[in-house]
Amino acid sequence: MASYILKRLSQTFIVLLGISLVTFILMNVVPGDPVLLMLEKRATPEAVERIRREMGLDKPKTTQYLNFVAGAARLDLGRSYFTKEPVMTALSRRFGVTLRLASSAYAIAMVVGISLGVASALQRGRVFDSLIRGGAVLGISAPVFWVAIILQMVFGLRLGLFPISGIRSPNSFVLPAIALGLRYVASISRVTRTSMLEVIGQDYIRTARAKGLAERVVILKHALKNALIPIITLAGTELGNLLAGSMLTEWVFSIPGIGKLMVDSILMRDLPMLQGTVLYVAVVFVVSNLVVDISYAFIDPRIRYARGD
Amino acid sequence: MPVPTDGNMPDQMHDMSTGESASGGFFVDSVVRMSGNKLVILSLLVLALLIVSAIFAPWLAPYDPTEQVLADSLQGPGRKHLLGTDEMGRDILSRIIYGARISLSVGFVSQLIACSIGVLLGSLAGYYGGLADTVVSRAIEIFAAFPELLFAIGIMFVLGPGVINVFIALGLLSWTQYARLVRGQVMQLREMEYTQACIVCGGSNARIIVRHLLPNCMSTIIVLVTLGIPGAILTEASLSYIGLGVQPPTASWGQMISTAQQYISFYPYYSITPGVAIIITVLAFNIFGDGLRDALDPRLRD
Amino acid sequence: MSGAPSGVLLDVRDLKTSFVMRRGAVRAVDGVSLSVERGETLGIVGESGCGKSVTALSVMRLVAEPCRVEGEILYGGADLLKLSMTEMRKIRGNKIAMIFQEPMTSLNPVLTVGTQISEVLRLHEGLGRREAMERTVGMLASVHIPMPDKRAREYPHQMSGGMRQRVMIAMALCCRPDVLICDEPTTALDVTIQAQIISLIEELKSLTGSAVIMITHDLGVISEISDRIAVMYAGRIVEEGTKMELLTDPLHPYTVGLLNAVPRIDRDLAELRVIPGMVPNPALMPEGCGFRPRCGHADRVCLRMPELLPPDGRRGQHRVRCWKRRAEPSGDGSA
Repeated sequence: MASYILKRLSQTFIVLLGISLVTFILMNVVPGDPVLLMLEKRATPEAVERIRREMGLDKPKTTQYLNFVAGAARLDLGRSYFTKEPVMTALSRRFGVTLRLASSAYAIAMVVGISLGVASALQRGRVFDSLIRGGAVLGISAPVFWVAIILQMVFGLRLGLFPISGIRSPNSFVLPAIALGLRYVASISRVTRTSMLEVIGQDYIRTARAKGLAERVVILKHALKNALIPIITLAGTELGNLLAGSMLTEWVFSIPGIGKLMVDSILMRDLPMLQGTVLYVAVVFVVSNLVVDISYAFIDPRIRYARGD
Repeated sequence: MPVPTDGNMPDQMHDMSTGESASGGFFVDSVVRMSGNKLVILSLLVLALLIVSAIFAPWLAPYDPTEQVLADSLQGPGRKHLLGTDEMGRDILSRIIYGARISLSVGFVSQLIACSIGVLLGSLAGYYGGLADTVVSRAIEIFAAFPELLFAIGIMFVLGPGVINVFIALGLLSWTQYARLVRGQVMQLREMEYTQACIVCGGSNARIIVRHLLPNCMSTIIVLVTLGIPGAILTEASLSYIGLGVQPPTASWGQMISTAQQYISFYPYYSITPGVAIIITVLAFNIFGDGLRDALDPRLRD
Repeated sequence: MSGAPSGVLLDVRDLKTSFVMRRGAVRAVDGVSLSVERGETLGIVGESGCGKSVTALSVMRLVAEPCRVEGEILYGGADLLKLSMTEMRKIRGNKIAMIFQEPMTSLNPVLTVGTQISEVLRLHEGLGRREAMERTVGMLASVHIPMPDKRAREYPHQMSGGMRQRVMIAMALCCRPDVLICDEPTTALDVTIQAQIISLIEELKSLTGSAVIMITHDLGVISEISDRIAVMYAGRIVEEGTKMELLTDPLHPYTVGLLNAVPRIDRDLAELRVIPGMVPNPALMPEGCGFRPRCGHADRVCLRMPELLPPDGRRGQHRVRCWKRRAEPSGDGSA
């Protein structure tokens, strides 16, 4: 068990290094001189040169990369070109907002998605099942930002039930969380259904029934725990996608989270800020995958013991 | 991944290898199996309709999609403009028809690019193993470590907006899925007796990969392409929505929604139509892809 | 409970089980009647696909949907087929318990063995968590699992097949059921383990006084453990009798064939006979006697279905479903 976690950690470390490299390359091949972008057009060549030196941009690319990695390791991601605010400060300030949005959306996705998937599997072949499956394909096929706009139109403007922008009240999170969560409700319910159907056909489910257990216990205690592994795999991957998807949702609902920060910095070509947000999302994504892999071990004793301790 | 999800590969391989000698028959069988599903047939018809209208857009569209008649701006659906007009007085139906060109070509071209890169790298990694495999596998891991949309945004940011760049960005985005599956399959097929026989007989590596291994991966690849297209269409819509994709005045569905959003309080209708167009297209690809997967390669089911 | 006077515990009458397929129903069990008394072991023998497992699952009402089960299954004065699902669940695992063929897959991989046994006790006997676990450890000890308190905390994959089957037996017997149904309990195990499992079932049966229905294709197992034997073929019982009657005086050509197909140490391998042909597909049953296409004695009479009747002029429990039931099968020199 410990050796397995250690192995996964070292793999993660390599991937993180790769991510930093890719991020660095992306930012360095952007056309246009960042210093010129940052300064007004009228800056003197001497001023440009001075800033360039201050930012370490006169050094060779390899040194720049090493500085970048070293900085990132110390949680120093540079300063915004425009607000001069340290990137890390901006990120941590907005992190809470994104976390609230993403976790509510995620909760909706898991609770609703798994329940619908289980119900759909139990009702296999009936009308309810077809409805859920149809709804799920529809949910996967709709663009998140469009669903967000439709929700704004219907529940915000037409019915006036919820605010459509900002984060003034807890209510402000309702529509964004639904908009963001809906797509993942769809994908989670699909995987849950498939996985449940596979498990329900297994011998040990018949054994559980032969013991006289109520169907509810058979499903929730004996089947669901076995069906969880593919669901968790997907849930882990979708967490990253959800964070990236929250970008569009935050944009539509004007929620000052990391996603909106990223879109803003794209539009303003604020490189350090963009670099920081990209790195941040990628790291969260990788770490969530790591957590998923380790959590398998806690759900499935076969993995826990097979990896040897 | 610690979970051996593809533990049941060998027996699947068995019936795939029999598919090689009669691949025509195999595909015909699959089509017959699929035709039992009315929904799949319907989605196929919708796709055909979309493709035809994209190709013949200049003849089918009632107006020039870029023609501005400011006096007619923001009109609801009517006899003159079936789906109304936008803020510049352009005909929305025509813009939707032209938008299909963008969405479909992005879908097809990006998957073609992704598929070429993925199949090449995947088969090299799977066939040669060793260093080639390590390098490709790590690359797959690193690429897959970025959420799709984020990655697309990064590339578009570097390349700048435009249709061609969207092709490239989305192609670079999704090659990992092809590489991962082809690598796995080639690795297994390589150990099959008939491959070993070819190697013993002195067949060249390139010949073995192209003539013997890849044909066995065909059904997997076809399913992946069909299921990859709707994802690419959605990502393109997102990119265009935030202004990094196709640039105006070219009509694209995502960018139409972006403009229409300013008018949701008094002209909500404008936002709905391009969204519905996206949903219908993506839905049709998803349903058709699911049907194709069930018929050709049920193992890919998630 | 043991030592109670004899009496029929479970009485199955004219059981018919069909699977509802897209193109009509396929009948897997076609009019099976059987009964067991307290403390008795009934063996049901037959090739795979003859409907013996479906018979057992029908009694438990565990046949996979979509299916149709007709007839009567009388237990404790009630027809199990008429009970509500809630009432049926009070019987399953409590009064009638079942052991399955595949010990490797019949236990839930993500729950400890102790949890899986103790949940039966908590359900049917209303025990608390600790009490149930204590009884579980006791049960594991009584099926001769060493270090039962340690084993109770282990997961199925940490145990061998024989060990898992012991766990299944402990699970099935922990509420001292009236009837224990064993569906091929030894088929998936090594020969040496098989003998241990069989003697364990025997031992526990004498302890609890349960009636046992032992389903197997292995005549060796059957002859070791059964008091009475029923031979099934193509969804029907073709011959039934006490162990002595059946083994020493088989009447149905199929039974004769089965006995001849058993390799015996005291006979030459050349005398080993294989029954020609295959078990018929339940969807394409031959007209009349199901065994007719494979039977050396079949003629036009066999185009009608024979009844399960005592052979002419004989007493005892022996019954056979064959028009030729008095005919001495030819070429069966030594039998």
